[in-house]
Amino acid sequence: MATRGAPEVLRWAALPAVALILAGCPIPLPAGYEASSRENVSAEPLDWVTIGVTTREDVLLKLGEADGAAPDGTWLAYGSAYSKGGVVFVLFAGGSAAGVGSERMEYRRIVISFDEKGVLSAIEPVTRDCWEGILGMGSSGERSPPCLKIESRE
Amino acid sequence: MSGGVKNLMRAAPALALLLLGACASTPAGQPDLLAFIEDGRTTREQALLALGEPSATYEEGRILAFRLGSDKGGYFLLEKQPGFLSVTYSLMLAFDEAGLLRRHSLVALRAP
Repeated sequence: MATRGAPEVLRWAALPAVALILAGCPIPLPAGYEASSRENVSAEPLDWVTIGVTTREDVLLKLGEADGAAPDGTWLAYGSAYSKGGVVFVLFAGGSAAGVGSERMEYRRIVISFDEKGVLSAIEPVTRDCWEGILGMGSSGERSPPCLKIESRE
Repeated sequence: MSGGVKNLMRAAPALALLLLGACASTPAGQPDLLAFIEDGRTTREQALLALGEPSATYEEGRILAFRLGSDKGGYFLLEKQPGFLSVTYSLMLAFDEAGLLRRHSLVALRAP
């Protein structure tokens, strides 16, 4: 039996999405932090830290519980997810609804590393902007995975 | 009047109160939840008894983290779940080797 290639499948999936955009009501998505995101990860350099002096305890007492941590405590990760806004096209029909849209996200992450004595040895800040797709049908929905994992070093 | 209708009329005021009460939100916060915390005095055991299981521990349990929400009534504890949904503060307690509180901080995770 012949199988459809990925481009053909994508073409078939794109058709309902285009129909939704053309026929649906555009609903703007406001800018703001994601509900589960912390808001205390600054885009500015951390002026209160000094490599070789600041300790793990100092960092934890200043920034709070980390989003991620190495099992051996050698690094802590702090991150935030901020939406810069977007739009979803929603179509209501037959008591149900479907939607497709996109949202521009900004992910910010700081990985702070420590030496064996718990003293700060390195800081790696990363900021990444990306568009994320949103697809919803009835009460279920999907969105494309984040372009930066804020709880890990990956 | 039938007994069923009489019973219903008797229950009506309680039912009305219940319906009205459901609309009102009672602050879950406790004004004195963190009153026991004092650097140099509070022990690790006291903190665990008062606040329960921490949401995270660091340096082999020397540093404890607790998640807090807040309302007009004060602070309330939140259980750990992925992300920081509804968490407004992170309470950090750092103890010394003897289990005595050395330093603590209440870190605001949300913009005021």
